[in-house]
Formats: sequence, C-alpha cells, structure tokens
Amino acid sequence: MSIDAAVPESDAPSGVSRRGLIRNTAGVGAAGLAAGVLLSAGAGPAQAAEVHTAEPAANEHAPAHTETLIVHVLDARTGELEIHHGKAHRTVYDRKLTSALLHAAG
Amino acid sequence: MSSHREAPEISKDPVADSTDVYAFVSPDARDTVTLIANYIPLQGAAGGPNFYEFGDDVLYEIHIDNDGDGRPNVTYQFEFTTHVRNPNTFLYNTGPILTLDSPNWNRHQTYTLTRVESGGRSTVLGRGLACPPCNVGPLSTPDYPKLAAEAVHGVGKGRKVYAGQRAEGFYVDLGSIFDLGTLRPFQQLHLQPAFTQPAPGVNTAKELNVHSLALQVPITELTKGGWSGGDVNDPRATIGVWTTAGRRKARVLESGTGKDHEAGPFVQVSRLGNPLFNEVLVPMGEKDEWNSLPPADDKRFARYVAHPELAGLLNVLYPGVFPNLAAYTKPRADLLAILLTGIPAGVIPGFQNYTGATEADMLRLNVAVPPSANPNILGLVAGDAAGFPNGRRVYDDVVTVELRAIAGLTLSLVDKSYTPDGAAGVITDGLTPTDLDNPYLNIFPYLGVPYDGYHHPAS
Repeated sequence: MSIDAAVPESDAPSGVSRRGLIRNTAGVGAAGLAAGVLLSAGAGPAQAAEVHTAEPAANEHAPAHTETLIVHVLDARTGELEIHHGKAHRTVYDRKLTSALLHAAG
Repeated sequence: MSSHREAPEISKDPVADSTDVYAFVSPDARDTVTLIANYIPLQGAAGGPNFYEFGDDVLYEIHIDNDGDGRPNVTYQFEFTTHVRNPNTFLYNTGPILTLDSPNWNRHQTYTLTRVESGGRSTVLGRGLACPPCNVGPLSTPDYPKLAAEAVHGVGKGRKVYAGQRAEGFYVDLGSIFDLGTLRPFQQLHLQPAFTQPAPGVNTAKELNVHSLALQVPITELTKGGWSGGDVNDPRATIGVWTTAGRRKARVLESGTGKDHEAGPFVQVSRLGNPLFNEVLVPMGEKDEWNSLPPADDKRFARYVAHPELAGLLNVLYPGVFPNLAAYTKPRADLLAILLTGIPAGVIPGFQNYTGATEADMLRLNVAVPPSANPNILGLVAGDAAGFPNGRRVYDDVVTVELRAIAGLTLSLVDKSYTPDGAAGVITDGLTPTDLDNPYLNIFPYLGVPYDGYHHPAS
C-alpha cells in the first residue's frame, strides 16, 4: 500500500519509518526452526540454488541491501538454510551460521 | 461453485482464490481472444467500509500453453498497488466518485501488466493502470458504467485490459447440490424421501460480485508461431488457458504495528482451468496440492477423472435413474478427453481441440472456430462449437454441461457400445442466465455491471 499524501515520519506509529523498519528486520533476519525438513530438489521454477558459503574475512563489510531478508533453518545438523531476499531465495549449507542463529534464538 | 472456495487452504485466502476462467474468441473483435480470470468470491455488494480489492501481495497470472505440454508459453501478470489519499479517515470515499482520479475516492488501486514468454522475455505492457472502484451505491458511484469504461485501458497492438469489480456471471444452485447432491428439478427422485415435487433452481451467486482480470489480445499473440487461420484441424489452432495466484514464500508479521514483511519468490497457491475440476473431481486430501502444481503434473489426478466420484454418487442418490451409468466400469475416456487432453479430431464432426497426450487441466480453445451467431448456453454438447468445452463464454451453463457429461451423456461419443441414460440428457440444477439480475454485456469486459451496495441485497 502506498500513501499518496505522505505521512511524516513523526506521525508513523513508533516514530520509525517503514523503510527503517524493513532495514531493521533485514538486519536481524528471522529464523524459523524446522530441523529435519528437507527441501524438494524438484521444486519447479522457483527451485533454489544450493551453495556452500565461504567464510567472510574478518574485516569484510556485509553487502548493502534494502529488501527484506528472511532466513529459514531447514536442518541444523547439515547447516541447511533457506534464505529469502527480495523476490529471490537460495539454499545455503553453513553449519557455523546455523549454529550462530540457533544460539541467538536461545 | 466453479472454483469458489474449492480447496481447504485457499478457502481461507479469498483475495488469492480464483473463481472462474473464461476464454473465447471475442464476438465483436474476431481477430482477438478474450481471457478473463475472476478472483475474490462471493462478494456482498454492501461490503464497506473496506470494499473488496486485489491483493498487493498477490501475483495474479493468466497462462497460455500453445504447444500442449501443460506449461505456459505466454503469461500475463497483474501486480497491484493500493493507494490511500487520506489515512486519517475511515471512509472509502468522501463524496461522489465521478472519475477514476476523483479526490473523493480515498482508497484506490493501480496495477502493472506484464507479458512474459516462456524463454524469459518479459515486456511491461502498462504501468499505473487504474482500477475502477467498487460499486458502492447511487450516491458514491452514480455512473458506474462510465467509471468502468474509463478503466478499460488500451495497452498496445490491439490489446485491452480491465481489472476490477464485475457482477458474478456464474450461476449455480449450491444450496441444493451440497445438500447431499440434491438437484431441485429432480429432487422427488432423490434417495432421501424429503421432497415429493420438483422445484426450480435457486442461484447461490445471485446479486454477488467478483473481481475480474479481463484481457483482450490478438489471436496471433497466443498461438504457436503467431498462427491464425480458419482451419479447425490445424494443431496450432488450440490453446490451453489457466490462471494462477501466488504469494511470497516467506512472511513475518510484526507485532504491535499491523505491518508485515515478505520475501522470496512467489509460490503458487491457487489454480483454475476447467470449471469444477478441483472442486468436484479432486478429493479433499489432494485439493491443496493440486492448487500448487502446474497442469503438466495433472497425470497424477487423471484417475479421479477416469472414475469420478460424482458418477458413482449419482447412481446412489438417484436409485434406478442411471442404470447404464451404474453398469459402466471402464475408464471415462470422454471425460479424460474433455478435461485433460482435448477432444481429438473425428469424435465430433468438424471439431477438435486436442493438444496432445499430456494430461493437463486447461481450458482449451480452438481459435479457428468463429463466434456463434446463435449461441447455445450448453455449448458443444448442444452443437455450438464456440462454447464450452471449447473455451468458455461468460454465459455458458458449465454446471449443466458437466453434470450431463459426468452422468454419461458424452460417453457414447467415444464408446459406441454405450447408450446414455435418458436422465443424462436432462439433468440440470435448473438455472440459466435469466436468473441473473445484471445482464452480461455484449462488449468488453462482457461480465455485467457489478451490483451496488445500496440496492443489493434487494429488500
């Protein structure tokens, strides 16, 4: 939905703009925990690309992004993650990241 | 209904719920095909203050298969954006809406129409295309036909598009059909001895509205290789049509704000080709799965077409009325052809809409068949080859056609040893287009003016 007559940011419910809220969500991500669920390899046109992530260098900055990013932990044992970003998604195997997300989730 | 609330999951998501698909050679522009996909079922006309609208978070698509593989070669995508002029009022409109840019119309929608080819080529046909408002009533929308006419947009190369509310054109007596298969005109023959006399049908969709995606495009834009011609037997003459709706794969609801965030690709949640396919043929446990699949995967559902549950129920619910149908145990080759492969040449003289061996539920239209000068609402089974199941026109009585087909009327076309029961030729839910208050139009978008909320439901 768009507001034709823009609402000033100070009028937004929490004083935070929608763009700010999205950035906030994107930065934190959202982890759904569904260990043991396997992604079908024949999922059709939206079939995910599967990649194994490389460790970022310690001083490497995260890529800039403004679209919502949602992460779904599919299998904690194998580190299988499904990452939804904008209108794309891909499956990633990263045990360290999975472990970090699970620790963050408590 | 045709496909209104036809599966458990989509019945809880009306904005993405497809209800009917129509495809026919335009009677007033014979070098074009009109494609209509309806969504948001059973709209009461007085649905304020938040009147019905398309989903900004839904991808609506109309697909065309022109090579018989049950996968789209051409797709038209509709993506909507809702605009609010004043978020500080609860009102949909603050005065009469006389034009689509009226400042009195507080909450309005625009859309982007995109044509996508199977090779991946994508062409935006129009951006910021205005939808009409809902038909609120005589004070708010005093001249609805004018508003609707403004919402018919030319989008190049002989194309027209309209996206917005229309009168429900589908007619069906759901109240009787889902009360243990009662058909009022024959209710005295029902197993349950509750009725002694026949009764006329009652239109469940009476005075209700839908939201339509209507598109008129040149035939050459849909057929393989841009074919057009008059040879009904040319394999390029038949196209398959269906609609889908998709939602983003992931969604997170924010607590305390009323907002949400979505990410990931669109995932198909609704599908419709032939009327009543998922509703009547596919069993409860597989309906949601069916909605998520392309027609190319319909082979797995073919057994429900070959041995339809409803045919068996007719024999049980109307004892002794369908003895020949009761005795027939072979797969229903007639239904498999009508619904899943198209009708091969040689079955009906001068007609075919066969698309090959791939079993796929698509509305098949042979575009070489010209519009009928004297249309029959029973279409092909009544000798009118321009009607269902050769595509589907807005007024075709698809309920009666499919009831009669399932009851065995069309079986003798493919199995000469079979004699249809007498009842198969007369079975009906007892409704016709005369049961609609707002008539169909003879011009695009062909479905009637939506019922307004002041006068409907009528007192």
